[in-house]
Amino acid sequence: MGAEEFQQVVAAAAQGDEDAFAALWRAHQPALLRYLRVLAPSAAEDLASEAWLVVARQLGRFRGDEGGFRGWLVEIARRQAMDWRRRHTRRPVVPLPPELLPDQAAADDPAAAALEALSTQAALALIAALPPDQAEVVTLRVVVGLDTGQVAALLGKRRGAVRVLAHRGLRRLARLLAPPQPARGGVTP
Amino acid sequence: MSRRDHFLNEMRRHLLRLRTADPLVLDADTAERLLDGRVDPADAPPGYGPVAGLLAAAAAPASAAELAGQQLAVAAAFAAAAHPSHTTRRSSMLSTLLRAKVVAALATATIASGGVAAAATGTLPAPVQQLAHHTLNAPAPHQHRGDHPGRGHDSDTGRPSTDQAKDRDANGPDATGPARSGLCQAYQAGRGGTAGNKLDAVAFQALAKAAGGADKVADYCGEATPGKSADHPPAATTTRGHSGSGHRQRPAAGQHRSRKVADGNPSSRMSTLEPDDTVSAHASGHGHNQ
Repeated sequence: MGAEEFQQVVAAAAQGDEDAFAALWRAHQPALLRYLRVLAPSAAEDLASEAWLVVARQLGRFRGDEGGFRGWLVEIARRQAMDWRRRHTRRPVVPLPPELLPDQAAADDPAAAALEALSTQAALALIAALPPDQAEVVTLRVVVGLDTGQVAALLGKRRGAVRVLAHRGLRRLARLLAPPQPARGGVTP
Repeated sequence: MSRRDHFLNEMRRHLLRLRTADPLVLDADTAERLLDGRVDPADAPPGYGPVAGLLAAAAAPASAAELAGQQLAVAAAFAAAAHPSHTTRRSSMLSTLLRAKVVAALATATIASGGVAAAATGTLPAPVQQLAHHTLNAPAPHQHRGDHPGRGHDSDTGRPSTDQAKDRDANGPDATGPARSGLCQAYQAGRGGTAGNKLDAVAFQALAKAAGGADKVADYCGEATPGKSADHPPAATTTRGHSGSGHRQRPAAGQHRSRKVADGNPSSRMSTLEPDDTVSAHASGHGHNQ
């Protein structure tokens, strides 16, 4: 939505306009939910709902544009997700759907074609299989749409550190998705 | 000595080979463009086509399933805003309701996949049976524990405040207030027997209490949403609008959909709720926002 329209929607939602609040929810819930699926897969829906409760209570005090709103929403959700992780110390293991892994038998098929129909859920599961800090940075950049500076501020890291994490995450994803390499060490099939 | 040199040379050569053979080199600029969703899988550098595809899938437009909980979520968030001091209770109530979605969906699946016989004989698990009771006129579940929400624990005077909180929890949302529209929608979706319905025992009991009896819920909701049939329209409106190429631009997930809704008619999607909003505005005054 446009900048002016966004301000109107926020003002209306803060005044108790359910339609306006629903518009905010529709615009930002999907990204929020996907982010939380990576952070805390088994609690994502609950954590997202709790984040919206906080938003509903504090919206009257929010000042900023839509990018700022998304950053604020994610910050609220992140705090809850971190609490949740502390309570459930072991990070839940996301089972990687077997169909995600490149088919060894069909290595000559272009992997891109196999991934064309990749569902959002499967993609998130694969990202969630990265080391946690890489997974979070990649999700914040790609799914939530924050820029490096926003991610750095949110995570309390330097921009350079954020870039390195994202870079490593991408490389690792490429390795996960790569068709099996033909023999580097001289072992031929 | 010479053996050691030879070994080191071998190592160096091996490392060099590894390095030049690495098919997954990624320069910083390309990494940024990948993260911004500006790399088409077909034009990606070697090894990164699948990554570009994966990132596009992760940031794909919102699905209907992701937007399915809107009514309940918005109603619950507003209920919480109206009573800021009870947020923890409210949020746990919301969690209960959202979990109920899953139960209800399971129930629907069970019934649809031949559970009718089980429902008819009353052998389904209680929440499922409760739903079957209301959708198929099957027998109600056996109600051995506190079937009268909010009544059973009043005599337990040990810790009045928490007990009362639990009581209110068991009551579910106040179905005469802002939550009414969401609950009625959920109820009507449940009656339609379609996927994604959200009816559960607690929510229904809240609705029944507001309506003045379980048998009056249909009338109560009918008067709230006149002319609305059981095949709930909101899901249909969320499925349109795929941006075509599958390749997105920033801002990511869900953004362009909202733009679409907002550019068009912001109220169209909620239009079925409007009559009810009027009712609930009279009933509760919408006096929230702290």
